Amino acid sequence: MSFNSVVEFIAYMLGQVIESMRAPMSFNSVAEFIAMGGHGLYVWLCYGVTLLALVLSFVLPRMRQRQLLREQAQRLRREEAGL
Amino acid sequence: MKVWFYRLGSPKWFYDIAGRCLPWLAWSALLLIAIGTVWGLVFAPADYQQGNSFRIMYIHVPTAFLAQSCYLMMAVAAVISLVWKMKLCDLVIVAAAPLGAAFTFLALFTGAVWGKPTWGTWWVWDARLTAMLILLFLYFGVIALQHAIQDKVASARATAVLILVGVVNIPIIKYSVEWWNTLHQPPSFKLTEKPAMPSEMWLPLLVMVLGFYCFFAAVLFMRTRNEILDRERRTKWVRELVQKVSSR
Repeated sequence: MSFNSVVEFIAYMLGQVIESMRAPMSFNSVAEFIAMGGHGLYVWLCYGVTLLALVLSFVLPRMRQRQLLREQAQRLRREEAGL
Repeated sequence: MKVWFYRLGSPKWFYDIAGRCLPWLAWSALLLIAIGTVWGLVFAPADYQQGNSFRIMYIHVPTAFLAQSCYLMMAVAAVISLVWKMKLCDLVIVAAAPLGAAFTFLALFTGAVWGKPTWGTWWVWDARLTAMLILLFLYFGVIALQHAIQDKVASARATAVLILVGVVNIPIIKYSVEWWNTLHQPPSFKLTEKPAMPSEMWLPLLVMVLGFYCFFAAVLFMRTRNEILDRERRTKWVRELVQKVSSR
């Protein structure tokens, strides 16, 4: 089924959000959650590697910015001392 | 319009604006990805065929979207760079390529790990998988070309041309599941139709996709700002900025 207007689409989306807030948890215990119905290894491997990649790609540019600013401040001080 | 275009091309202007958007993007990314992950992992119901391994979808689909969106954005930047010689676009391309490669790798990796319990194999030479692998090599090619040519202007032009040649791969990725009927399932989302999945399953996915886009924008801004700092280090405004930061 397709949507006839943007309003219809937004109304549908809001209805779905409210509906899905009443959903129960899919697992009865922490052990069940970790086991993931026998697929735990696959699921946690994916989430682990992705988390690692996201953290690295956020932290590395921050460190690089600090390093760039530090290097350039040093260069400026050297230039001033040389003048 | 023209003034706006030239201001956008100014590295200083971009540096300031990107810096102001950064906290908003980063916090929305964190919030959306946290909500999406908990929702997708704990509350979404298990798939009746695939069991719980389908939860990999919540990272596989956003990373695959971004792998392609990042390339399209680089292609737009390449056109602007070739036609109007806008330096900012070259810097954006330099900043985006490793990020695009990372997302393509994640899409391929999560796809392979998802494929093992679902199809019984890590890898097949399926049309979509092969096209995604080509995308990864395109990103590698772009990065290698940037490092291979010393002259910045020549390097930017060669890179832009390579990106535009490779853009033919994007529609191939998109339509591969329709043109060739192979293992990879058809798209989970279409813009004009209600998804085939129940909403408890695809709403968390929507949240994750939005979160990943915010994350991509935040990291891209950080990386582009670094490129600007490095490339513009001899200009007056960067010197003043460095002095201001280091005197703090």
